[in-house]
Amino acid sequence: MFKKPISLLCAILLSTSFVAGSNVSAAVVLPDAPAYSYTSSCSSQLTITGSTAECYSCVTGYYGSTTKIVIKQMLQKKTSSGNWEDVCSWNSTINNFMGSVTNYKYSLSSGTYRLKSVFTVYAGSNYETITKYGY
Amino acid sequence: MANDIFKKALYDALIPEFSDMLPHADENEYVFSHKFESNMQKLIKRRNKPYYRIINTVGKRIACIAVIILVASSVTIFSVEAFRNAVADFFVNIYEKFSTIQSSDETGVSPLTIENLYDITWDLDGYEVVYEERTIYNFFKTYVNKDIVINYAQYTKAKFNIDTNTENAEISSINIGQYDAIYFYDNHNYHHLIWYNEDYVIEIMSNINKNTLIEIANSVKKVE
Repeated sequence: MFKKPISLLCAILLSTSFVAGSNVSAAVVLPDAPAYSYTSSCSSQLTITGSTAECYSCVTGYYGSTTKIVIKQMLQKKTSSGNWEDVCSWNSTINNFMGSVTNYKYSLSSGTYRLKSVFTVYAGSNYETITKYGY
Repeated sequence: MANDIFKKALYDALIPEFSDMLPHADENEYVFSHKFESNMQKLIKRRNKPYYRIINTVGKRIACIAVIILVASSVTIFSVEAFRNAVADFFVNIYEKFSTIQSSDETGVSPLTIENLYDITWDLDGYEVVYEERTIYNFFKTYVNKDIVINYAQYTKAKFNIDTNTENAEISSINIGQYDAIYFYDNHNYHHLIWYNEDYVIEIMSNINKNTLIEIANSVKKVE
């Protein structure tokens, strides 16, 4: 029943690959991606329990290189038009090479939320900014 | 008629006898291992997936993988969506400068908070703990001895989703004891190991040599 459509799909994909001269590379280029010069990893975690949001952001730099981290957390709600608007935000500064922050927002109305965490990671006077979303 | 009576007599005589020969189910309260239960939960969940019929034989799975590779090879040419790889127990989206590594908690049997602490039991004599943090979802500890840095982290599986520096790094899979681990070497000369030990995700990054790091990883045990 599905053999013909699957065969057709494979044929189209094969021909598309060959025509485009596909050289499959796992690494994908994001034009605005930060360099990760002072950051090893970061995470952004949103946990909603009832009407309370727990917003957790964590970053790990490199010991001896990373000197300070500024974390801006924005709890965002999806609007009816599909955009995201800030419900509230928090700023935290960590004078260390790694660290995490947790903030809570109570009495949330129903809807779809996400946590936007913006990490500004310093090595002396140099810095880079990385954004990570948590759902 | 006589035949029917004979059949009934035979049935009445044999069925109770056979029944008595069989062990009763309630006499065998066997406790299965955590790994077995976890695997069974995986199988049950997989069986309930709407696409189970598409992947329920080896041939179908091979066909699906072939189609996915073809789709990915086509899509990556025209879009910036990352190629999603399954490495060890994780999904890995590889970008040019970083990768997103996410756990796949299909079974839902892993602890949702840190209930037991795991730590390195390798001899860390001479090392100083320069950072330690424990939340309900994570446990971090950093050991330093002169220029050698060992960053240890324990995460709950459900919450493990990190963006990590993998620029110019080759991500591969190696064994840590009985577990498959993600391994890569970053552009700051740090080796990274990430694996799932059936309860938690463990990550160790260090600028110590690779073989020693693997020894250290093999020493990670429940300590509390």
